[in-house]
Amino acid sequence: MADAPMTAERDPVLQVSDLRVETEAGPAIIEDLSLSLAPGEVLGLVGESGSGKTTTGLALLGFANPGARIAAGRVEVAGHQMCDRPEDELRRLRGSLISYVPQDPVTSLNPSLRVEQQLNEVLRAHAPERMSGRTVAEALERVHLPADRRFRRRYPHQLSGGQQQRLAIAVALVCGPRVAVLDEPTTGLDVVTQARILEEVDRLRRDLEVGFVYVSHDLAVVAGIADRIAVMYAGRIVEEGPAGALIDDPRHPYTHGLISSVPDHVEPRALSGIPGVAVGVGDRPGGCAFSPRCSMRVAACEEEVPALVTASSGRRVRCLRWQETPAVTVRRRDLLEPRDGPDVPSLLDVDSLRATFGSRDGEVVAAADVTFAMEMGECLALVGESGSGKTTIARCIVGLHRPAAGRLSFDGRPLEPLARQRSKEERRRIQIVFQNPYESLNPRRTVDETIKSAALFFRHLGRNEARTEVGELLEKVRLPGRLAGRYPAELSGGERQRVAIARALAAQPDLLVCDEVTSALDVSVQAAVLELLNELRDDLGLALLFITHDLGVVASVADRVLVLQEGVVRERGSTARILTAPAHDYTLRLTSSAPSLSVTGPHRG
Amino acid sequence: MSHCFIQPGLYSTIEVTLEVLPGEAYFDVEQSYLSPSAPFYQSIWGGNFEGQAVDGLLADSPYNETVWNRPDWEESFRAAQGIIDGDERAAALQELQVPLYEEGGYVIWGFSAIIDAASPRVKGIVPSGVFNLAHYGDFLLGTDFLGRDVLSRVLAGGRSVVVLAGLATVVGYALGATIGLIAGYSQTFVDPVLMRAMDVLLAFPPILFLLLLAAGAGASPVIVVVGIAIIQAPGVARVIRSATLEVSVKAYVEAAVARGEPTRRILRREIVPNIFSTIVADGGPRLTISILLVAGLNFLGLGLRPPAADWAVMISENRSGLSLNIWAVVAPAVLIGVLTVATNVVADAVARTRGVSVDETMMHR
Repeated sequence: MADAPMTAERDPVLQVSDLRVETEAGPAIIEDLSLSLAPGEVLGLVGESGSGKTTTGLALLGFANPGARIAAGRVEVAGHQMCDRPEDELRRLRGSLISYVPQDPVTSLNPSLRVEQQLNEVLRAHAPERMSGRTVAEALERVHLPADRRFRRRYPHQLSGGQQQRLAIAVALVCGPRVAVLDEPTTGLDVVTQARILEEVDRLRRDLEVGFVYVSHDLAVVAGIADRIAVMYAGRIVEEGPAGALIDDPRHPYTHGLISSVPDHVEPRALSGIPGVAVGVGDRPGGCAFSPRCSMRVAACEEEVPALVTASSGRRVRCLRWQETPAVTVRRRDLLEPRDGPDVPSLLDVDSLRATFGSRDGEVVAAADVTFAMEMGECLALVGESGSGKTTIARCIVGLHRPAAGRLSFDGRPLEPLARQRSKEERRRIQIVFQNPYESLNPRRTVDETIKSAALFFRHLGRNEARTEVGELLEKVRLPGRLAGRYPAELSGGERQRVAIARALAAQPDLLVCDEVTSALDVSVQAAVLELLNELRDDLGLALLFITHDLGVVASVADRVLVLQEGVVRERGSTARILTAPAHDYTLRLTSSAPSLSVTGPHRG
Repeated sequence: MSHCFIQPGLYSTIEVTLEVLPGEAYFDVEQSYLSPSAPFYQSIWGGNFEGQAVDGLLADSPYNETVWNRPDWEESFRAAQGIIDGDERAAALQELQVPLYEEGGYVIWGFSAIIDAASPRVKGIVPSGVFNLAHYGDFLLGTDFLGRDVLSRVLAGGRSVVVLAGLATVVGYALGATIGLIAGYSQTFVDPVLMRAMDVLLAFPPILFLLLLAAGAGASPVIVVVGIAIIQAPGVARVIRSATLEVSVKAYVEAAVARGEPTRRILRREIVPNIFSTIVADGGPRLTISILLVAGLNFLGLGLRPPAADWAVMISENRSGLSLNIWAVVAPAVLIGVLTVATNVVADAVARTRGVSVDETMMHR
């Protein structure tokens, strides 16, 4: 894009200096935060869970969640100070001068207001003189929504997810604010819709000269839209700079780690995660908050918080040793062409599987005539968007859902439809790891009990054997043995998912079904879990059925891919072939829409 | 351990040693603070211990508000918040204090339940020879229509209420929870069959039902317990069923199903421990209702009969002499009320330690 770096030369519309937000109890959620934003610029605010990015986004509107308060600093939007102002004045500015698009449009749009009322509500509060059908139509057209009467009289639940998000953006922009804060606007949308929303934002900032602050956990998405990126860790900006330069040559070890963790479908990579987990608000260490996870740590890092120093023009970094941070080296993952199959006996055979759900509107078909086979030690990815039926297929395979038709066979023998009807040996050999690590462990049982009971159930171990087995399994999933006595509530998401994997491994399975196992995890943790699964596969000869919506993840783990849409297999083939030369339209749309760090975003002109 | 001295007259001193309560109850509360399995922690730390302490604190837990608004707890919470080691955290949480009014609740409960026939006066069988007199000599609350010491009988009269109501609630739970668990977990035709049967029971007005039962089977404490249990069961079943439905779709239950574990084992190990907080929160209000029903039945003479020393029986038998000795009626009546309030206070306190608010379970009804 021609006018890409629009920084410094123009007067900023948003100027934040030394902002500090803290909890009522005292500890800071964000501190020492300074930012600026030019008109028409997109600033990406990237960070993992607990980094304070949403708190920052809200603080830009002079708002803090209950239980938190803005303790110090200045936020200035087009000359208007947003801190230390009475609430009613602030309310006049919010929406008209600076607006906010929350993460989830389903919950942020009032379900009882029609489309036009959603827009009129904001106009009534800020610009009643502009309330007219004309304004509403313009606002809708601006985000490429139909402006006809029928559409305007719909309720939010009658819109698709993408339309809802467009409407939320239209509402945010209808009063012509100078700055809009988008908080994870595409999380929860499928990649194709996401790509369209991103295009929309890119167009709007040029047409309307609105400054956007784009808050996201997804570096690849941000890299595709932002002019500048600020990376947050533990409530502080650790690095900031022009998007291209920051991605190509990160100076902070955390940014470096994040970039190495992001899977990429264009350049399949072997991922390397960052050890440890992001720190929470109460337990940030003294000195550099990242130092416990940092491989470049020296004694001085723990003594005081490094200052945000200017590294080069427009780039700031908060690290003592920023000059020594190595360049990002991508370890390419070699995608093997699959062996020619028919002579290898298959482990799992799925033959014209059909699965349905009864619902009020009749029968919903989740899988229609799905046929595939898996070999020993192979990793097959089932790819599809939400509602494509991939999870239902997984549930059929482990015997949690009764298929409407079709045959399953395992190791040459037919499988009964429900787990209860299968032999214990069959159940032992097929294990599943679930999507949500917060629900997959019994909160009332310790890690030790959880793993041990699975081991005892499937293999007739003695008490002592079981104990050593738990130790070994924890080691296998790279968890310290001291976690054995913990309850799930005391573990992080990544740790829980490892425990769930250990529980599955306790049965010594031949096939591990992984249902979106990393979708609830931060990227750095996701990378570590994917790394672990790859290693387990090599060490134990496990076959993995990997269910995901993320093509980057597919590129990092899978040998073969099955693309599903609305319960129908659209395409199948080796990972390399599917990613580089998709044959079906749907696959092509997926691969071209999925964000990637290695393709050109707007910042690469 | 705490002591409670009561000196009703000159002849004797009744020393009531509340060895079990409030000390024991207090200990119990601490126990649940200490038990690392309690979801209490989840509410303090909002689930994700390392990552999202503040997000969780502010948004997720319905319980946070309570926690947060209590200055005396806040400091300990804060102290405990940063500690990851289990033992240390337990020690930090141990410092949490039970507020005074809750201790009051425990005392009243203990008092009602445990006070025993330590002296013949308490048994209420020593007639004074003076009938229906307020403030007669050493008899602080006067005497009743048979000349028995009202104070002694009031002291003794709470135990029957507490024991009968407690038993009825426990039996009602055994019945209702079993039905609710089966209905909630089965996901087959069993569910509607059981629940419609419960709905039929719900349609009977409680007192009418108990009257019919007593008319058919004769008045006795056993009938009181059984009758009230049957009245409680449908409500319990509904609450337990919905809690079971919620838990049984969790991935850890599905994992157990996929492992092919027997249903009984899944119910016992995966489901019951995770709906326990609902049971605790739901149990308190039910106990209160049981107390009122027991009192009502005894008053009507369908449960305990004279000469039993029981608050409700006392009200019933002394009400004709109301103008002569008002205390013989008012004292037990007030105590029934106080016991009800104490029950709610204690139940709330216990439920809170399990990390749920009573209001939350009320929504299931």
